[in-house]
Amino acid sequence: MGRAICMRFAAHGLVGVLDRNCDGARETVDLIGAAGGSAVALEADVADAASVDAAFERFEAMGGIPQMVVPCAGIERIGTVVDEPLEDWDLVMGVNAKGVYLTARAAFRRFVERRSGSFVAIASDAGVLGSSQYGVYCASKHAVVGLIRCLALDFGPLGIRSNVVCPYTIDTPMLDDFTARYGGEYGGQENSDFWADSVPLGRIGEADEVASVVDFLSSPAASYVNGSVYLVDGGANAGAYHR
Amino acid sequence: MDREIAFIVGAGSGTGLATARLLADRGAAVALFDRRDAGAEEAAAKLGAGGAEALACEGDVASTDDVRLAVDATVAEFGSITTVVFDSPTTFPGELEHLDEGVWQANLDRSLSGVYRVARQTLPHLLASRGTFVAVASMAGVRTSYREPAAAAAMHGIVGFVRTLGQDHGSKGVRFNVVCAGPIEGDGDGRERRLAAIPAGRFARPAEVAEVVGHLTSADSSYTNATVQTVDGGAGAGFFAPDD
Ligand SMILES: NC(=O)c1ccc[n+]([C@@H]2O[C@H](COP(=O)([O-])OP(=O)(O)OC[C@H]3O[C@@H](n4cnc5c(N)ncnc54)[C@H](O)[C@@H]3O)[C@@H](O)[C@H]2O)c1
Repeated sequence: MGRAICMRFAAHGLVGVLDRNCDGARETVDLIGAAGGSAVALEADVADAASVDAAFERFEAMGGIPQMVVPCAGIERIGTVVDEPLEDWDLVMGVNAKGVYLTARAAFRRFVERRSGSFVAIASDAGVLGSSQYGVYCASKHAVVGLIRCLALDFGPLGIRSNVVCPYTIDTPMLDDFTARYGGEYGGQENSDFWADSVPLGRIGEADEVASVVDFLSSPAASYVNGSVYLVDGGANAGAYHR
Repeated sequence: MDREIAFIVGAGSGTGLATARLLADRGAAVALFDRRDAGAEEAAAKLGAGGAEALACEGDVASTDDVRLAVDATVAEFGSITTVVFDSPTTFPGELEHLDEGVWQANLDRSLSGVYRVARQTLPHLLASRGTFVAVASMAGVRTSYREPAAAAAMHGIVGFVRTLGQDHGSKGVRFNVVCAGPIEGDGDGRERRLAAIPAGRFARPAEVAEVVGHLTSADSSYTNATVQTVDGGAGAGFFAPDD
């Protein structure tokens, strides 16, 4: 998903591609280059303040100006409070919640100086509703939604906008990781069938269908959209649904 | 999608008109539906003079016949309908003490029941074109409406109705979404108090709401269905205390 967002952002200028997976970031940079854009890979761990700050500094040293910042890094672990390993809490909160906070910390200091900027976090439907066995992940994503709303209130008066996009199941490597970690079945069905059947549009989403919404929210066209929670879920969370 | 053909209700002024302009600017043929003397005629003429294909349809959303005639006229003129935008009227019928049943009914008839009539008449065309439907409601669709209980009732109704349509028709390729817009420049009174609760420090410009409608009726929102998207300058995010 992050890659699809970078590809869209390449139309606006230099893109800083931050990931702790340096090979993945370099591939994204190459793809952008091949498409005629320019980008730089920034290896960093979003759960580590010094690492995030250093990545912003490297980006600026290379001529980048962080204007549209999108914390999208995330990890998924499932289980219940009874059986899930305790380490999952710190691990998931560290990347999904603290990662967004640390990114905001670096971004907003710069936004405030320039009195402009857009921050669009990627949470999840788990940021607004519960989901069986997703307690830890849900808590981390609810944290993102709460943080974004407060950023919107704190910095809206300066013209700095903060919004959050909540995708439902999207076809990305995260789905493959899920299958590798927890097996190919969920809800008594093959994973992707289970998820596709829970969506009124009848299919899981593509990464670019999230990226296009992030691109809109980051653009001047969304000038009055602040503190909003944009579900991009094919309708999956509107209410109880059976195919 | 080959050619965008939009049917816009409430297109005579405000956000409806701004939406008609935005869609026409991106090449859509636009049918502007509004009440007699509400500006649709002039707006269509102006868009037409600017090179757009524009049709004015006069009628009242409270009349099933008016809606049907306008939909038929649009299809007769342009061949189909791919985009429907219902811009709900802002009304101020007042507090419960003053809300007699006639006023309550009239309010619902033009808002919630208006959406029902327009959705019902345009659905066959949207199914044929795999089109999109957007209702523009106010923030009273997700929150309360200070001293205007009828507005909150109608707007909440629109949200529930339109989201359910998205659920029911999404698998047939038709997307339905709702935009809940914060107070718009120029409508209503009691403005200072409301302004103080908006982080943006100003009301929405009609064109800013139109941009969100434009996004939700474009391919850029292809996975966005049965949702409510807010455009409110941050006012709905929570308690706002300006720091000076
Ligand atoms: N794919 C889905 O179905 C789905 C649904 C809802 C929400 N989301 C959310 O969308 C976001 C993007 O997910 P995706 O599907 O693209 O997943 P992904 O696994 O394909 O990508 C996540 C990226 O984050 C990076 N990352 C992980 N931990 C990091 C860290 N500590 N520091 C820096 N980078 C780190 C990974 O290297 C990876 O490149 C995540 O926040 C995820 O929770 C995904």
